[in-house]
Amino acid sequence: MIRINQLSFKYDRNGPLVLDDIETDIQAGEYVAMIGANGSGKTTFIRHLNGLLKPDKGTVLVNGLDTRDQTALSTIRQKVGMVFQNPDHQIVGMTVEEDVAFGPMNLGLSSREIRERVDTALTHVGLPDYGKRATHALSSGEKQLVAIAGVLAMEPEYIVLDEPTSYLDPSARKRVLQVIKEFQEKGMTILHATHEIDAITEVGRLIVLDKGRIQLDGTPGQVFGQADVLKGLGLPIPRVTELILRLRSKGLDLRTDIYSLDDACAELALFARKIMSLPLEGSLDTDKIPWCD
Amino acid sequence: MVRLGQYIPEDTALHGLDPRVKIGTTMILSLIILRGFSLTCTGISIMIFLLAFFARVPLGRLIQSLKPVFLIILILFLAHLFFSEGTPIPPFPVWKLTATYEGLFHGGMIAWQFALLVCVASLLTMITTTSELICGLEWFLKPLGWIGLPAHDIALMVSLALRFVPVLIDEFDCIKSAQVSRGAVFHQGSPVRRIKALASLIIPLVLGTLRRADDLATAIQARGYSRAQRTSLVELQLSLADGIALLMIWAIVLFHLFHEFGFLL
Repeated sequence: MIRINQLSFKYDRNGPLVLDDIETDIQAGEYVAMIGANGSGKTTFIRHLNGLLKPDKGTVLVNGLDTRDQTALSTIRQKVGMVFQNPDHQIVGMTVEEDVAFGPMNLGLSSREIRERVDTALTHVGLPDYGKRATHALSSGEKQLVAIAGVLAMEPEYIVLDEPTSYLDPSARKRVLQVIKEFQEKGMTILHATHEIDAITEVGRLIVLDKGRIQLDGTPGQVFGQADVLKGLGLPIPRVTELILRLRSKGLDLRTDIYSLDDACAELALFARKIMSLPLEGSLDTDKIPWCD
Repeated sequence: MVRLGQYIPEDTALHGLDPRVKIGTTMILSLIILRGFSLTCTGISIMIFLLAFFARVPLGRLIQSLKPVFLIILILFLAHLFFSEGTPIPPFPVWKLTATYEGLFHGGMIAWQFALLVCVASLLTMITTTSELICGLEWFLKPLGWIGLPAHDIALMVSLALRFVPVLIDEFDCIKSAQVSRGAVFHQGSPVRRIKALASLIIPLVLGTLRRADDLATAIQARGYSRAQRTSLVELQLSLADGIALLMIWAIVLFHLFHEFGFLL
């Protein structure tokens, strides 16, 4: 568990508070997304989770280890893997395998174990034959997958991703999101900070950050159910939610906590059956519906 | 496409040698070349041809590696030719210039030595991958740790510098295209104007590089980099072939010592 206790932080002593009294936990196995406008403190928050930044006030505890404890830092950084926004700014190796090996080398593993971990990690992200390739010749999507493999090779408990898809084209974005989803299915703990609201509908929990404070924290249904709060913070809401809200404003009695296409379809179908006094479950005889020819 | 190091992937015994042996050999050969004896230089020239042959390095590639330094070699040769004291070569002296036989010999020797040094170094990079080179370099730097020099840090610095050469070239091209498409002109006008135009390329490049360096430092930190007990993906191990190569190097060193200080033996 990562425990964040009354965390406050500012970059300049006389500057504004970038994080303001944040109090939350990230439980093992959770898939958490964090959204917030630019400058809301997402990156600053994330960099506290593995001790890249140290709290001015409060504490960050990773499995009970304090990030301010210098002797615990290497353990913390092995437990909390971090993927950054720009794939070009985090790859250190000339070849893919060298880059993926960088973390395990820092852990002081034997060369045989490093080799095994590199191969496993590359297979996990779907790049099993890429070991000898030069990193600068890869596409952005492949680079980001290599960066993720580099984190995986350290066998972390938590993976923290700071807008990992914002530099990628749609197909690469889809691939990276798919890989992240697979980790979640394997039971890893994931914190994914992003702008792309449509990309995170499968998370279990959503944290909304604004001006360094947690404004909303709950399931996606609970958070998107408060669409006016999100809009007030200048954040987009999923298109599906937008559609449902517009239908509501036309007088349709629909649930407000809908954010995925599947949910929206189910809700609309249910609504249609209700107003036509049709059975709420089971298949329909289309002859009885007046506009179905 | 940049061909820094110009590594030629082949599966030969020479490619398979331990990088430490290859780097050590290069250093020893360079020292012998710098001693400047025509006999040993002839020997080394023949040796380079043989090594290139066995490593399947095309001779053309080896000669190409001399191209960037050709002008320096020429200047060295001419400087020695015209500025050495000794017997003038007829029809010199012409005007105030005098070419001498001694100058011709020294100039030729210096040019030869210089070319040999470049060839030996190129041969090393042609048969050794950059990662192996860095691994070997780190091993040679290790003793410096005793006087407080961080061998790991230096090796990482070198490898990062090499890793970012192609990235920075791409970025430079990108900035240049952006500036040209907004009407910048880099190849016309007075030298002052050209230098000013260059500033519009250099400043964004430097700023971008600094930002990148900052991000990279964070990423390296996040991946747990520390000086303590780092290990390596490639474990260096001497093989039989390395042993034979080492014996041959010793033979060359002994031959040279005998040639230079015959009284030692």
